[in-house]
Amino acid sequence: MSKAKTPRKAPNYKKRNLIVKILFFLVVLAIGFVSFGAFVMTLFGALPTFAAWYRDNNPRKSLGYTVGLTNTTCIFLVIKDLLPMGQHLTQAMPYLQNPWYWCMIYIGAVVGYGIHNMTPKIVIKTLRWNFQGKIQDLKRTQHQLVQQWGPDVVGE
Amino acid sequence: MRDNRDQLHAIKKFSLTEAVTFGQGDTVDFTNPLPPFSFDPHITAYATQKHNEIAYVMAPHIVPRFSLMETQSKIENPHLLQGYAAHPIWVQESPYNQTLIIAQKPGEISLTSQEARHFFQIHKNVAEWLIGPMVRILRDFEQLNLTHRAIHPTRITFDDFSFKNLNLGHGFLTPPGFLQPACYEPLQTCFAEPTARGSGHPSYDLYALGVTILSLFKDPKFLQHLSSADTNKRRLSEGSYAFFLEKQMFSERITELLKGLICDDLSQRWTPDDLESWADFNKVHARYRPPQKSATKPFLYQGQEYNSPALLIHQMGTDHTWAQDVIFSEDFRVWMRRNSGQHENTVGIEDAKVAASRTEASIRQDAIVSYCLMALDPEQPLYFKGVVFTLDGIGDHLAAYFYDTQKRSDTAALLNSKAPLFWLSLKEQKSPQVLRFNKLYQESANFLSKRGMGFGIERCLYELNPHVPCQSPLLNAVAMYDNTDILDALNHYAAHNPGQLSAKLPIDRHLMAYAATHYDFIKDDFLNAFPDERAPKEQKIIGCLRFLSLIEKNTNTQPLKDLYYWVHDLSLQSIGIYRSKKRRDMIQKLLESQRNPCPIDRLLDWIDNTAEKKLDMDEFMDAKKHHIYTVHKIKEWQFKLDNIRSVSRDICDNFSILLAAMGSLFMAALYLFV
Repeated sequence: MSKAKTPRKAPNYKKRNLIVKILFFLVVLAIGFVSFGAFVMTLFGALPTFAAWYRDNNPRKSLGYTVGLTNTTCIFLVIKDLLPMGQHLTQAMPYLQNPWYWCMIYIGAVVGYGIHNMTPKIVIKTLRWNFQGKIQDLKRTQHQLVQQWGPDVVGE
Repeated sequence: MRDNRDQLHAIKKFSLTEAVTFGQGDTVDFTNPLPPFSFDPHITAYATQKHNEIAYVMAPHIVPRFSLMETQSKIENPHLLQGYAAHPIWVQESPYNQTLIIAQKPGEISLTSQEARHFFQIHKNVAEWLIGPMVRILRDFEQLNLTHRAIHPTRITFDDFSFKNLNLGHGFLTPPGFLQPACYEPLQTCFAEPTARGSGHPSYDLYALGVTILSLFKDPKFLQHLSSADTNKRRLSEGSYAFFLEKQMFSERITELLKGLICDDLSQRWTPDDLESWADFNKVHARYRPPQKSATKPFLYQGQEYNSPALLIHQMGTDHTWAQDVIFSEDFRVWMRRNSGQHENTVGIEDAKVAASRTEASIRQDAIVSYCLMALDPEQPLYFKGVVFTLDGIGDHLAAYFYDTQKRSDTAALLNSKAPLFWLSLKEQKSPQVLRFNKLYQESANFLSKRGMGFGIERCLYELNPHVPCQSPLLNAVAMYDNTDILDALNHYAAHNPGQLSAKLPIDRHLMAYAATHYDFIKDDFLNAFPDERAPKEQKIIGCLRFLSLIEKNTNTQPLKDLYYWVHDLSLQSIGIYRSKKRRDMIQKLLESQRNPCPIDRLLDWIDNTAEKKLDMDEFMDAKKHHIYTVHKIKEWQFKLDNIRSVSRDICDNFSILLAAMGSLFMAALYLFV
């Protein structure tokens, strides 16, 4: 007799999310200690991530993660030049005033939103195609059984 | 019997005036046309050996004890009609003023009854003429364990004026005693239905002989008087001898003869030996026992007064509307106790009631009356629903009225009530005949309680009348001379009805019942296991093949061509018993390869293979389980499909995060390196 499967323990999303949040703020604080300009850019650049995080009712926070990943990637690409400038805000101002950087950061967030919205459609379509194929296979098997054994083979 | 097949077929085509070759080349004149009925091998052999005396043994040889005397419209089986039409034309219902036939062959003399009487009176030794050959005939019958039961002046004939060869005439085409007016029947049977008088005892023929002799000396008006309805009742109360002679004086010798023959007491009635002694002018003492004295105070039943207990019981048996109330009334018990002198019988009524109460509810009332009347007077015949039976006449009655639904169901009810068994239980002397009937009626009640093929009323018909030909429509117009001819007869049917075979099985209830009666190797266990009429066709075909194969094997019959083709077609229809298409195709190929006649057993081996059937069933059960699994799986997937959004939520979440991560990496790599 096969051993009964133990149900998989549901992951504790709240705990995970809390850890991620703390880590994020620690990273932001660390950035703040290193460079004030980078801190300001990170803080304002991550606004879409914050919005997505708190708007997402899903305990998995998939929207938050998706937007966060693309958004923070862009932020880190931008602030990598600001970090060596230290606490000198005047040196960082040209960066902060450059709309191209802000645009890049927010486009990254938009891409995250886009990925999150498009994924279900693709996944559902794929799954539906897969499930229908399986049902067709089973029906074909049933038909073969009836062909071979007659209509009595159909159970109650 | 099978060796004489050619001769028997010749006999079948015989007509009234023909002479045919029979047995060892002897030419015999038959007095009757021969219907294609069953033959009694015993009597046939006897006829072959004693061809000189064939005149009086031909009739039993032709048809032992069966005919249908119902109106022809009721007769459904045309080949029986041929037998019915075989009645000689000179049988008439009231023959007393008709020609008394002295010799019936063409060119020989017939006298009117008056001339004949004058003829016999002139020749004072008429009785000797009659008695001499008659003793010989009756002894032969006794040896054959036969009774003629139709001895009557209009049927007795002589071959010529030498008066050496006597012909008792036909009597075997009908149930025993059917042709006899009631006055020629002894008291034991005269009240019974003409079809239910039974073969009875050899002494019944002696009684009929006595009345026959008496009729030769009596006035014709007296003979007419004998046929009236009250005659039997007067005989019962006065005694037959006293009633018939009516104080008329005969010579001492004739009186002694009549007293010895027309005797109501079976034990006192003369035997053929006594008759021979009388014919040899030896002194034979005839004992006459007067009937019981009438009751001083009559009993009133249905507005009529009855002085004789026997007569009252008879009246209650035939007119049974109020019989039950009367039987259990105190007045009746007191009257019976005073007049019958049989205290134990009135006490036995309670036992009879208890025994009858065990019968089915639908027939309980009739059974109570019947049982109680039997308990009151065990010497009387059997009364049931107003019909009077003798014990050995029940089968004849059933055969005669088998196509009359009402009478058939009444007879079935009688058998079902086990009234014959109760009647037998009242007999003190358990003779072999009583034991035989006990077994027969016990079995009949059992057969009636079963509905399967080979049981029911059909089985009772053949068990109670072993000489009745098979009534199956399949054997219509086919003569069976021997029980082993069933397969021949079916082969004949197949040959002559080629277009009607595919939808028809070569068995039916009659055929199964007939075979079960006549073949020892067909046991009740086999019939119990036989598929019933509601079973699928395939099972019925296989059951049918088993049945035919069993007969074929046990009778060593060679494969019969037309029957084989019939069975072969059916076996092709029966392959549906296997559920697997592959297996069906395989068996079909095997069957189609066997087009030449072979033993049915071989076909059965392919179709009814136990190991293959088990394998087929096991595989089928597995397939069924698999099908159930697929049904569940389809439901499961369909559910997922219907709830695809909720099902895909986790995947979407994970996938979107994964996609975002990969996109981010890609963007970072692109920015940093390009």
